[in-house]
Amino acid sequence: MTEQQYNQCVDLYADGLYRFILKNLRDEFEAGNIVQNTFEKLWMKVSETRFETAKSYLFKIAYNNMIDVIRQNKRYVQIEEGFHDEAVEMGEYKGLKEALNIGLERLPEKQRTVLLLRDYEGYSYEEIAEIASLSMEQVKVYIYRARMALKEFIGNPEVLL
Amino acid sequence: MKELNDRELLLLAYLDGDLDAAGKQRAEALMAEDAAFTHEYRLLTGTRLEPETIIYTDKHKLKRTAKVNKSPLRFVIPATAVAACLALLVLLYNPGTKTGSSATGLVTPGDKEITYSNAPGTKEIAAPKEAKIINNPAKINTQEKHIQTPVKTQEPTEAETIVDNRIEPEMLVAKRAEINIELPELYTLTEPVYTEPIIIAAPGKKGFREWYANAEKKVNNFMGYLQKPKINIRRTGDNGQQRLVIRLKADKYDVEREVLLSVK
Repeated sequence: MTEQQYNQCVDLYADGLYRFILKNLRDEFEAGNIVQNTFEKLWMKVSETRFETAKSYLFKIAYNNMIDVIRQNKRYVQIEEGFHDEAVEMGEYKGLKEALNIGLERLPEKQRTVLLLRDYEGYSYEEIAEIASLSMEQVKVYIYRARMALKEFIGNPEVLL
Repeated sequence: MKELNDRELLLLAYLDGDLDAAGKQRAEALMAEDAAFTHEYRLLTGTRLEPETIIYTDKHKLKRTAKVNKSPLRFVIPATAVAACLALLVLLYNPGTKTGSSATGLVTPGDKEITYSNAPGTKEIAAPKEAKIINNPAKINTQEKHIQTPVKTQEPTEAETIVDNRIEPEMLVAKRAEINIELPELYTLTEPVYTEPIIIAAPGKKGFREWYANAEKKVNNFMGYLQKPKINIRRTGDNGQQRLVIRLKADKYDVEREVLLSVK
């Protein structure tokens, strides 16, 4: 990949990458850090990476980085989740989109990740399997469970108020 | 992990548009005869996420340009090396001689003539025509001085200063930040000590994460007098500033404070 193609990757994928991490971590600062680290790693391997595979490479690196952060911040994440549970009980949100967003935040990390890669980034099951180091069957199960969980979540009439 | 059955796989693939023509026909046939399948499908279509437009504003920081060394010092090292080589060669070829006034050149490797000094006891021979003068050390030294001078006195521009002062997590190591939480709503319950700033010194190399965990612990201690308090600390930052958003929820209280971290 050339320097020009690298910069093209920044234009094409930085927003999506940032959104993907932000949606998972809900931390702008951390998401920004991960995006910077990820592109730093791409730049270090710029001559070995093909432009066609750069997007998958970026998401895989970012995903692994994010998993590390989640593990390190486990306690913090758990505390946050506690708050979201209460937000749901209080019914503080309105509309399907907001309900889906809150439902998404409540999903287990793997389910949320694969669903975001599928719906936001349009990756195939195979590509998601590669990024998240899962089998295709696991990806399908996670996506199915995520959709079922969201269905249950938005199916609650209180949520849709 | 329990695998999906055929029906679930079909439903998921149909929903995700991941079926070939035959599979799609099969799913549509099933929908026509199975109301439960259709119902399930309709409910699940509501779970498709619409991508949000979120912009990463620091894209310019990620962009790269080819490494072209524009530093004025880029000439200094090679020039110094050449000068040193020349001096060494002159010394080797003319041991014990003083620098002559007529011969300051140097032959390239392969030339047979090596004597061009007019030191006593040596015969002065004109440099051969094919001999090439590579450089003059005196000129290199002049260049070096000329280039180095502005570098030493150069002040950083405003833009460079901002970049240098970016607050990266690792740069917080061994620095201190103060968090001062004031909760007027709780004054009736607090003692004076609680209104004092909490000083958090960043511990060792592990940097911000460890520092952050420590901060959370101290805030927890700070709020310890409350029954089952829940502390939520969110770190956020932009434009080089870092803030902690601290939310305290206990009993009937639900208070959020945003604290700018001052780095000392």
